[in-house]
Amino acid sequence: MKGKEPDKFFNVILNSIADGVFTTDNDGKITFMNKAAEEITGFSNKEAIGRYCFDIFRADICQTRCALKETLQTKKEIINLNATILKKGGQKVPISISTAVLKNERGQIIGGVETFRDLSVIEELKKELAEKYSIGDIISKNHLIYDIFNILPDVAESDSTVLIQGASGTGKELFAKGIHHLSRRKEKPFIKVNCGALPDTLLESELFGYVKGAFTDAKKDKPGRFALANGGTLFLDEVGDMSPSLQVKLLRVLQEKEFEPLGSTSPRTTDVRIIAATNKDLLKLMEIGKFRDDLFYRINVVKIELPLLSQRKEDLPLLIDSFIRKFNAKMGKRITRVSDQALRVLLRYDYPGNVRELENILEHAFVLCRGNLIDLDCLPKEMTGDQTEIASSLLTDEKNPLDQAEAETIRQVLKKYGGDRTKAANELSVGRTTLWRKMKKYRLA
Amino acid sequence: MFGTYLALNKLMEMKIAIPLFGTRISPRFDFSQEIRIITVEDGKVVRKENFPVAHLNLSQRLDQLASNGVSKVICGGIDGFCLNQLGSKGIEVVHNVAGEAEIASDLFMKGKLRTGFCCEGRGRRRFCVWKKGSRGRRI
Repeated sequence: MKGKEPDKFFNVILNSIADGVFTTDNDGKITFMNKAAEEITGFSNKEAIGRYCFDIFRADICQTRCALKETLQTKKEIINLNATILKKGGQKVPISISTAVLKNERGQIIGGVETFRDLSVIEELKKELAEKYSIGDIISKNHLIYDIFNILPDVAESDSTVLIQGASGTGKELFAKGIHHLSRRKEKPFIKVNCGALPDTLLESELFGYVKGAFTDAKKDKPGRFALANGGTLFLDEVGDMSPSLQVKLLRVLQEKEFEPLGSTSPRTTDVRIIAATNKDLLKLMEIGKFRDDLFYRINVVKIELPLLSQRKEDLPLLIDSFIRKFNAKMGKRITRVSDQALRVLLRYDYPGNVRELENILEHAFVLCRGNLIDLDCLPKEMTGDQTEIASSLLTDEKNPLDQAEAETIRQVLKKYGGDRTKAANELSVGRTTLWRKMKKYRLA
Repeated sequence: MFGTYLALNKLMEMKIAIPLFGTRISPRFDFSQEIRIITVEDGKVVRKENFPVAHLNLSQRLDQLASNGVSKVICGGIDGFCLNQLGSKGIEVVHNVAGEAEIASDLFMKGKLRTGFCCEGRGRRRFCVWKKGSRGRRI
């Protein structure tokens, strides 16, 4: 009788905890299951006891890497292994598994114990958190981008012309689309014209359209982009490459909201919101006379300057994750992450081609990657180039990615509080002296 | 006449697929390493073939079943999406079945297998249990 007392206590204790617990014998048949395990798996205690754990648990790893079997063989615990199980009703539940061996008083192994935690809520929350950083498709937690995020809804609401300036691949089009989708014009078309891609005459007919008989092959009327975008947004990419004669015509549309199609005698009115983008410095172009100053002042109503990817390296993990998700869906692969070594190379790279280059690098890796991990050998050769050089530079350079991230965080928080170290230390949940020490270490003092 | 006979014979042919885990029914349809396809003609099993499917992704698995002319699937756990996909290909599914694949297919041939059954063999007695009211013992 005395021996049964602790058993009773154990049952009460195990049934009162929120983690699922079950025990098996050496054959893998279930000998005990607690209340939480019943709830998570959907099987009752009566249904489960005496049956093989894989028939009840139905995890994705059961047939390839059974955690309990591994523990019984190696006698080593497994902690927080992620898996997905299938409930009795057929719903998938993400869980984290920990296993250990069960021994009797003589030290003989009599089976195993598996505890598992339902991660559905955490997974949901993670999604929510990840969403927090994005307006539409823009992913970032960088302060420069945050500043843009803050003004974006107000900019979108107004009908003012916007000039987006940023290097190639920084996401000018994405921001233009973001503005369009936040605006009251979102139901109307978003039309894009690349001013650098077309010769002058063609661009003019593209923008303004033509009427029948305007030139030899104009057999019928063709509406231009300004007409197509009526009520919506017209995105003029590479506006810096536009010829001076077209600039005059564009200026007229901006000023008088009207244009004349090629060959037409009567002007047409249009209600279009213009978002212009360029990777060139328009001020410099203005100085050398390649860009009209009156047009510049017309389109430079609200200016958004996009930072380089090298200025927002803290976004790299988020961007990499997002591209991995995207390419997994696109290519039907199941790549889970980037190896630590490859991540280090990705973090150290300068990205002259910005986010587009990162996307292409990861696409390259996806094509070459065979397992579920992107390793160093999947990255383009020019990035990994001389392995020995990278390895030695990693050894000699004190600033590893973690330190760099820490320094960047401290820099941001200090900027936020205007250099007030007490407030910054509070925000970072460290002591003032620790902050001071770290500032000295990263030469921020 | 011969053509009609052939057509009838074709009608009588049925293919049953069982995702396997060793000799047992795989607990997960989408993660089985092997699949057994049983060909039945005139109510008799004429062929049993095992195919490795570990390297196939879900859509390839579904295609393989459809291209092999499988009309019934006996499986363990399966999610709603897979169930719908199989249904849309005209494949009938008896799911949530656990235990020995051999016993499950025997029971299926006798028309006694239902969703949620557990098919275990003990000594000479073979029994199929799980649901209340079904024949056999409850575990």
